[in-house]
Amino acid sequence: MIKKLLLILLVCFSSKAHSQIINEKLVEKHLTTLADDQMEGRKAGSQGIEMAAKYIESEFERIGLDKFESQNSFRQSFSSKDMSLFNVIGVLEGKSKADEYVIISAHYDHLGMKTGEKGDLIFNGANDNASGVSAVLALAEHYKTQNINERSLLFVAFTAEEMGLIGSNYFGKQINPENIIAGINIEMIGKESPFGPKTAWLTGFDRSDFGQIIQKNLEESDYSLYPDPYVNFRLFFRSDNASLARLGVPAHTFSTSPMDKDLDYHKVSDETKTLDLFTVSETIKAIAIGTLSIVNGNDTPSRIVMKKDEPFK
Amino acid sequence: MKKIFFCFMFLGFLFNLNSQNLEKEEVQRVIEKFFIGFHEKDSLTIASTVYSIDFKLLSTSTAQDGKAVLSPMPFYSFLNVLLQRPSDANWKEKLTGFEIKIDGKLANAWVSYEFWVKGNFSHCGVNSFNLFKGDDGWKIVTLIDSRRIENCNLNSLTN
Ligand SMILES: [Zn+2]
Repeated sequence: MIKKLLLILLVCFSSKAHSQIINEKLVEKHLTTLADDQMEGRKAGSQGIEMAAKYIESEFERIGLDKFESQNSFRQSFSSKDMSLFNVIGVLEGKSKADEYVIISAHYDHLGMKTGEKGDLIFNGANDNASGVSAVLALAEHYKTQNINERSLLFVAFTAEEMGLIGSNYFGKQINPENIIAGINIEMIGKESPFGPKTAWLTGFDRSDFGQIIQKNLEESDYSLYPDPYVNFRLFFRSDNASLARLGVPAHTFSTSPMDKDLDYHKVSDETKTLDLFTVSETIKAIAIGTLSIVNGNDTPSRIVMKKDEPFK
Repeated sequence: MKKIFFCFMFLGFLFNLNSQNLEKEEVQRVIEKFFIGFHEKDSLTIASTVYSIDFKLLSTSTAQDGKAVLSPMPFYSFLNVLLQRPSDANWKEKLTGFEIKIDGKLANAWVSYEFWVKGNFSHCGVNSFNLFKGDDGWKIVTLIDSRRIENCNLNSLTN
């Protein structure tokens, strides 16, 4: 009887922790900070992106993540095209399978500012992709609190995605892909999906069984995941997951964006006020539930095999 | 005076009949759109015709041992199958008859069909649709189908 009571208590507390960490308030804080005018559109190589990186670092520090490969900074610095660039990486070491990694990522750069015009000049990139970074930060805090990850988790904010997946490409060269079990990439989760509320879609759905694992884990929830409906847009190749997928890693991108109807996409009007916080926070919760069996080592998605002649973009 | 009254009654009846027919046409259009999405592997078109959160798909059939089976299929599984179908699979669901009944915001459509794969007849049956009319028009709430290979009297062979 006491055992039963304890179990009930445990369930109550863990589900409480679950719903408390990922919520609209936390998401709103991340979003409004990252999409603020002060960040001047977070263009790679600019002052604005420096501020964004600082915020992500300070959050990783507050949450209590470790640094990647015991370096003394959360930044993975490199240079490309005469710019000094940096991905921001935080680590949560796995409990029993520490040398197996799951990557949870989003690009944190955007388009910067318009020149030679009047009015609003800042590409705030709230949906693209402050929303994805908010998810990475919220999931980091969630998993740190839950302390259930048997595998190691790498929380990565990629730079220079908008210039051609530069940050993720560099990152891919620094790792051994065989140790990477899965790539969970998040892009534009701030607007209600074309399949309705509490739904998202996944790019490259049939390239591994990653998506089906997520669907199975979501079965008991009221959230569902669908295959990417915009196949002609070739989105699987156009976000950072592609840099890992090329190496064989089952790496896919979650999104809710109604791509065919989104009038704010790559416009200065992509601001926090156009986003739906409910969609953002419900989607982050669903990613946590959906990827749990991969994070805790129970499921291992199949590898991706790219055809040799498959064009990069 | 009485005559005029009956005239109005009759006109009203005609008008009612006409708007009923328009509604029926609208319901049929939604169902046809669902199948356009089905044939073109366009999940967005399909999603635009269903009441997404509550959309239910069920299939009735007879198992090998003769037992009747009712099998639900999650909407996402339906879309998985649809999108993973090879482009040369050439599935064709021919709709061979519509019977539509409407009461207010509720519609029922009894749609007989033949299913063809790469030009070969596979099976026939009935799709039974329930639709609800909300703020954005008629949407499919449930779809239950039957599947059989007997008594299919193939209409489309003749045309
Ligand atoms: Zn993006």
